[in-house]
Amino acid sequence: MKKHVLASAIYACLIPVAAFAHHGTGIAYDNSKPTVIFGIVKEFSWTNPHAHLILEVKDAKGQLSEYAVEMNSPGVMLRQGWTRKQFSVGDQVQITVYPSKVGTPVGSCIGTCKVTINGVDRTPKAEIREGL
Amino acid sequence: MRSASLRSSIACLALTFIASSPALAQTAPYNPRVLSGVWMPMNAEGADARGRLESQWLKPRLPLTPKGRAIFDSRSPGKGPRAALPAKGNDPLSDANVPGLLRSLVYGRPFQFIQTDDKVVQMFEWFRIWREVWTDGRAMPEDPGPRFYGYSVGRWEGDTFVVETFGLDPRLWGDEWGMPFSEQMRITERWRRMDEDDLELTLTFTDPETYTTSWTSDPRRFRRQPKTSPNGELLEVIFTPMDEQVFNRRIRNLSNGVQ
Repeated sequence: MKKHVLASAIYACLIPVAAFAHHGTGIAYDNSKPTVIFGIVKEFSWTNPHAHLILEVKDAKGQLSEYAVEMNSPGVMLRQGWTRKQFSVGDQVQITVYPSKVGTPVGSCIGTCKVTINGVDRTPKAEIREGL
Repeated sequence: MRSASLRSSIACLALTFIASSPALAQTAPYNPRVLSGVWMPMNAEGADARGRLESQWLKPRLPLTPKGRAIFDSRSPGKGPRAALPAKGNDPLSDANVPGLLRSLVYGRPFQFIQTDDKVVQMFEWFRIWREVWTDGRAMPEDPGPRFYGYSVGRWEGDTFVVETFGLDPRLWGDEWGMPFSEQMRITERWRRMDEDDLELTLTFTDPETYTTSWTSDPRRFRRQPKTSPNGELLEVIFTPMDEQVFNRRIRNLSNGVQ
């Protein structure tokens, strides 16, 4: 039921938001186009080298598809206050990502990116380093 | 009598003031020859090293020999000025190979030094790997390699801990940008505590097969992480083929348009 309520969000509907601090790990993502993705959690993989979130999203035609979100390594995420139970299957998620440059359904959320889980703001804090 | 009491009161007040002053409140002076602790890489300005993750060892061009240049040109890193799509690169790390000594030193993750009577152990959070720097006066073996983390002997020169490393496996890269080296590579690390919380490292590389001359890195800075801080204990950060393959299929390849 929950799935039907919010899965209507459309990842193809791109919503630009203000850029925020980002320590990218590659050149695969377009850091100039922060994009909001809505979807339902299918899987959250808490593994190295980077954790990743698999969302079920709807496109403009209402077709369901998967969208993958690359996150940071679990070690860094722990230090940001995340846990491996941060997401559960069926959670409704709104997340700001940098999309793949080649247009495939993958985006990055590495460092601090805005995240809402079941309507509650769960944006992680920046990694804390002593002396900074 | 009253005068004696007044003097006593003034003395007590003075002692209280002195005892509470910042100068005395500080802990005992640090020992520059004690390196033990958890250290986090910082850049030269003291800011977060991960802000420039592609930390090269030297800003100017590396003095590569023709052979060194050919190896360098054959490498396709996912980071730095020559960055290409990671999925189409040839970085050994993309298959979950260990980073080796030099990449562990340059990467933005913490390490811990533990000193004993005959060695200094350096434990890297990244891949949860350690190396020993022998300080018992032994000589460098004639042919210790190839080793992913090399063979290291150390000594103190004043308050600088000098480490000689030899026997590195040249199949690994020297940094995130694809820095090459051969089996002939000899490294001199110079570690120096700048103050209680800051540690500095410079490295001198000598490898006639790969470089026309010895060269020295830019200084690298590290900040001590108190045990009570979020980085005060090393985590388990291990890359494995079974995780890497899944990540490549689902994320790295897909994000690069490689099916």
